[in-house]
Amino acid sequence: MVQAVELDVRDLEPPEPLDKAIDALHNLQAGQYLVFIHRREPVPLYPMAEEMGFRHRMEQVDAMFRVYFWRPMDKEVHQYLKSL
Amino acid sequence: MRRDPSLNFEEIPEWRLPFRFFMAAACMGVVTGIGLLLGSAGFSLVLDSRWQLSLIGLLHLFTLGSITMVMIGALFQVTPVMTGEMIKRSPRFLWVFQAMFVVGVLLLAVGLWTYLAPLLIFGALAIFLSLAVFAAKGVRSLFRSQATKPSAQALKFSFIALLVVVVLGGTLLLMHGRLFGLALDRSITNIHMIWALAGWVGVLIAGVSFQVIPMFHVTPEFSELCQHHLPKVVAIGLLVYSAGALMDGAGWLMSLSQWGVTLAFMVYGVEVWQLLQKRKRKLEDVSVSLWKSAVVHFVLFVLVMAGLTLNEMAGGNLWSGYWQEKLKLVAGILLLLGSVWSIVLAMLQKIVPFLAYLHMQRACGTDYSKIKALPHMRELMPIERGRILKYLHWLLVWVLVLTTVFPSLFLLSGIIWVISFLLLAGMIVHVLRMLALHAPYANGSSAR
Repeated sequence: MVQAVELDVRDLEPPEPLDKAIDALHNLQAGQYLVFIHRREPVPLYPMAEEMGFRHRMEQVDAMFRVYFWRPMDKEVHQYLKSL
Repeated sequence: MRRDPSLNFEEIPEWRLPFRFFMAAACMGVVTGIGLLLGSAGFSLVLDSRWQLSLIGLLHLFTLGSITMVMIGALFQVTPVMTGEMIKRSPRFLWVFQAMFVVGVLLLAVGLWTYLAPLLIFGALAIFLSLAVFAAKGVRSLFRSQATKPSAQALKFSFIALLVVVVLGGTLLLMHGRLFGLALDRSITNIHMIWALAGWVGVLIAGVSFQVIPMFHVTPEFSELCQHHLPKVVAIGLLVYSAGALMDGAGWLMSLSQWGVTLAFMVYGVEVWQLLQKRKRKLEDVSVSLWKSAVVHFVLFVLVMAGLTLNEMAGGNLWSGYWQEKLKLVAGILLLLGSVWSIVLAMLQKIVPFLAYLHMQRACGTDYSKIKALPHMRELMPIERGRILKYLHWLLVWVLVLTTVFPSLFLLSGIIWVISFLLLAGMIVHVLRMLALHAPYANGSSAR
């Protein structure tokens, strides 16, 4: 069963969004993916997430950035996000 | 995958680069304070007129040694992030550039104070060469950039303004030396000053704030009107002012353009205040207090300038020439120290710990336990010290204002000045020590 973990950091000051994202990525379980919502694109987070073994996909809706992070080896999540 | 074209964190320079300029700025501030202390000991410094050479020496020590030094450090950091283009530099260039700039500023200040022509000429020449190369590199990299965001446009204009300031500064040097038959023309001094204050410092601060205020203080974005039109209005105002200053009988044109530029910055100041009022989290924040105090000091500066203009229009009948000169000095203190330096301190309160934190986090790699052991922003820049710095700074502004009338306060203003810059230097050293503790094996590269 695929489960989304949502993290909305739009009201937080830097570097809290980055900090919270690393916490959330670290605690992500098999079958889960992270939906990270921020007012800015979290560019510094990408190389860190990549080193931790995550892939990402970004969507921008007006002034809001929604970034999905998942482990590519988690096939179920990978397939699910591809189908979205 | 789409990327936000306004910010590019893949081109962040090594962390030591901005820190060396921030540290140098604090040290040069201490030297300026020592200059004030020497003034209190009777070394020919009296706050009588803005044309007094010893005062011009101290003014350049502060505006170049501290304000411009911080801005250069910040520009090396923010230019690649905001525009995607690095300001090209090698380690050797950085050493030569910074050493030349520091020595130049010191020689210029001492040369102006003592009026020793060789010091003055070598100092001004060193500043001219170092800043001209830096500004040319900045202009070159920014015109290669594809970034069209208002903050990038503001950066471009401020680099051009710096080039103008440097060229005019060089011209003034030739005039002082009566070289090539040039006689000293105070209208060139005024053009040099207004391009430095409004074009280089003002537009640069505004451009950087378009990014850092919404980002660090979680406020709404600046209005499109402010972001797009402030640099344009300032650019037009400066060009018109310069034309007016070089023409005979065009004083009204200079006044009109000067007030146009001032009002544009007033609108900007009001918007800064409104945005900070709309912060989502209303926690105590030294940076916010400093931003707001900068706006208040700017409004006071505008009121003093309005008084000065009215007195001039009334033919000097409102108050004597003595008070007119004193008020000009008060206006300078309110603008440079009360407003500009408050903003510089406000930005440093956020940028310094943030850069350090970002670097430490990257140095930890994927080691989660190390990341969790990192100090928080408030440990890197303790709020108690920030609060003391803020109160000392405000005290300094007002003691210095009073010193224009009561020279006996010279010693006190010098002491407060030295302490406040020593405190700033101490805060930067604290961050550097934390960096050494948590990222001991780093070679200075924070990016990638």
